[in-house]
Amino acid sequence: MIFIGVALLILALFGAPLFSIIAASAMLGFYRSDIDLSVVAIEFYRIAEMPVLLAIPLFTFAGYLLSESGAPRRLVRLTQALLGWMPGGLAIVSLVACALFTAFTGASGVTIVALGALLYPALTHAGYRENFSLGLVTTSGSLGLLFAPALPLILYAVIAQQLGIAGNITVDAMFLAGILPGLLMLTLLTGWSIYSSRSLPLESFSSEEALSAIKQAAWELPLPIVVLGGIYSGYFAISEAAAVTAFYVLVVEVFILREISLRNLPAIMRKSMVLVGGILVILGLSLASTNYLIDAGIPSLLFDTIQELVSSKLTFLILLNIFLLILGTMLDIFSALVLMVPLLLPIAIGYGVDPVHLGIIFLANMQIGYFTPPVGMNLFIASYRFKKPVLQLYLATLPWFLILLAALLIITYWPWLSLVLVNS
Amino acid sequence: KIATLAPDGTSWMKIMREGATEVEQQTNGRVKIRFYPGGVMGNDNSVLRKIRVGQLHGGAITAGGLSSVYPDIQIYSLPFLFRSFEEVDYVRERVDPVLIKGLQENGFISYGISEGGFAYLMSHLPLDSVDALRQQKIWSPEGDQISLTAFRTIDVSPVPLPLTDVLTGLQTGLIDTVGSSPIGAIALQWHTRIKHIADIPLIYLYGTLVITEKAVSKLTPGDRQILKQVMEKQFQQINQQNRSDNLGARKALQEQGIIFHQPMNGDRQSWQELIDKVEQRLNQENQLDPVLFKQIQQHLETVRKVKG
Amino acid sequence: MITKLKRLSALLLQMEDLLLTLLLTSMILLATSQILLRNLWDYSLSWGDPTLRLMVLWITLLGAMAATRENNHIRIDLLSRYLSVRARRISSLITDSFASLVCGILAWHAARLVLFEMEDNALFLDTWPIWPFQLIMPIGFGIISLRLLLNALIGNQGQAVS
Ligand code: NA
Ligand code: NA
Repeated sequence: MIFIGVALLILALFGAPLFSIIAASAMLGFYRSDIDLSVVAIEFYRIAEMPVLLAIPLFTFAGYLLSESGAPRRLVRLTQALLGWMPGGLAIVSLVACALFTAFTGASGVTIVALGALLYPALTHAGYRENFSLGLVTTSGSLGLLFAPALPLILYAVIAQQLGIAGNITVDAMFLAGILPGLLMLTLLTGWSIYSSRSLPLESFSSEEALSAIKQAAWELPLPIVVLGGIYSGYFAISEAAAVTAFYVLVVEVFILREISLRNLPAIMRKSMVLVGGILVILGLSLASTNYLIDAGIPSLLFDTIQELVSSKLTFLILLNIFLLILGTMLDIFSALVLMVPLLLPIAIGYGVDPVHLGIIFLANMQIGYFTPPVGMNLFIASYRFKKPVLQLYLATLPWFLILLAALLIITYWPWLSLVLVNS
Repeated sequence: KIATLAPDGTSWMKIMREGATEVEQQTNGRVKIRFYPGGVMGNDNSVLRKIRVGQLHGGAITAGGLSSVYPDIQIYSLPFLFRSFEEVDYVRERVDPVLIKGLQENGFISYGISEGGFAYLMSHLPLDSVDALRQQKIWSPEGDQISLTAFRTIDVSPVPLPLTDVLTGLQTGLIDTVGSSPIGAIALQWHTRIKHIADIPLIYLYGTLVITEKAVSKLTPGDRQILKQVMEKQFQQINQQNRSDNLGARKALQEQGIIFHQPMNGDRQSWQELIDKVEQRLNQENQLDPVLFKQIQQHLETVRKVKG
Repeated sequence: MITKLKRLSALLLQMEDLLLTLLLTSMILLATSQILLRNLWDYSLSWGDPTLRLMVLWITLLGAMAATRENNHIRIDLLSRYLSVRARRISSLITDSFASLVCGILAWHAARLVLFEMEDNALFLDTWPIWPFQLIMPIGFGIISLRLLLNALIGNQGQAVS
């Protein structure tokens, strides 16, 4: 078994497609457990059973279309005009935009693909260092998981509620609990952005330039308002917001602004769907490998081992962070929630951890897990999207990783931050 | 190896695990049952596929989910079929064995049917009349053709959504009315978004634990008997527990200030018209066994006559 | 003969691209018209969402097929950059053959799944047999497997065909 694991690792390091490695490990696992290998196909087919996945091709296409049009240029001009006088202005706008976007898409890599494509060229164009920009867009891919209406917040509340041991958990409580920890992360990253961009030239604010930039971006400006407003007012579900975005962008860029010709459209569609195929095929097969883990009871086995080492609440929380960080790099957030919350929650309550607080710790860990080297999923998505070696992404995200780790420690050991809004 | 949608830690799973321990003890460890709770094995269709290829040996599956194996199993879930738990008990005592036999003929051993309660229409807008109902954005479970036909018959165009999207749908106003049992509404947090309930049983919800005949036939006859005895006993317990949980949840909803609308005298007429219309339409489109359906209707007539 | 074969294969590739574009276009149109129908006419398509989800499955496999054609899959690939040209050639022969084998097995088991669904007479929207809609899985993985094998044999280092 160890030999096979090492062989797969070597194949991966020498460039076998990631999906084939995941598929092979799932199939080997099932084979050794005497389970029919068509289970892998059954799990893969669950792609056609998850409504939220529809948002991925639609947002991706919209992002590609926007990035091929003049929109990034206009966005840079606009943010420069509005916030250019501030140090780190564009970086801050990027962070906030990504956090908002992720809150709606649930950190499935959509943010990097759709917004990153827009922000990365804008950032480098505005003079930010390549590694800083890469780090920002990769990190931002999961920033915002703690803000409403992120699906994981809702899911955590529902799972915890059904356990019947955590009385005060409601979706509203989770929405409230996430606000301050989320803002803490945003604030720390903003500080880092201001510090990093201190040498970039500042401009004086010109209302003429601002007005003209707003006019120029008039067609794109309603987009966030329509999409966010649409979701909050109940006109759209997330996948519908994605549809509206795709449709709106298509009409604006192709038929109104005519920056992309109908002849070029198929090529852009194809290019964006190549990326979607690459991501979803991995997702589908990782459903199968996760299913093998569940079938073989490996997560609970792993956890039992860790549980033996625990003596105090402090040790428990430290180990919890380590465990969840590792878990977050390997599992998608929904599987992790479904698998681990029922096991973790009773134990955490035993150590005196508030269930709402545990939820925030859990999601904050998952958020960082997305870009924890060496295997955090968003590292690969970013590497793929921006055509940079993964190693460069490890380096680029390192400062961001350390800052969010500090935020995570504060969130974990200072429950007040998560609970004050809930209890007030 | 048995998959369920119920998460670990629920009373449902506790009773099932107790049963598993009892079976293991009584068979001296020859029969071990492992559960995969919380839907980790996927939805009903996914679980059935995995049963087919042998990864799983059984699952706790809803009536709708099992309809692909044995269509008649969903016969109790015809809208407005039952009007009270009294009628349910009378009919189920007589018809459950027929359904369980039907499942066995299709290769599945069932250890009893467990009640999920009555689904009622729940909304954050008033539900005091049929006209009010037509104004609303009603959720229908995705893929559930019966409820879809039922709603269409009464000129309501429902919004089909998967279960997981319902809470968000209520929060955003995508839908404002759902059909749910009281325990379901509380467990899924839907009750935080509703203010009104139409106090007319809409649909009877239920599910069953099935294990494939192939897996069971590998056991010795003695072990098979123990499994049957213990699991049937546990399932009866779950059935009763759910009944009392639902009544408790109903009370909790009332205490929370949610208004239960009884159909008024004038209204009762229009509700009844609506119910008749749905029944007629479903009878026409029905692919269910007409003999069995007639049987159930006869039982219902008997019990309604006795009640006066 | 060879030119005919080449023309045929070019035609097939064009069909594949056309299908991908058509799928995405109809996805956008279907999803948007659902919203319009619901908000303007208070009407919902019961078949809308299940159809859209199947389209996501088709897009996944067609996209992955195109990604294979361009040798453009997500990889960890930390070591091959340190290899000489000759060693890299051997390394990609091994990794691509491995991936091709994996996809071949996936295609086989996906085909078995389709067969099961056919035997069980599983239905899509309670009306049509579902298995034709699932055929994309064995076909997709089969084509990916063949393309990877071709890559392994001729040492295609990846080029965009568009
Ligand atoms: Na993850
Ligand atoms: Na899962």
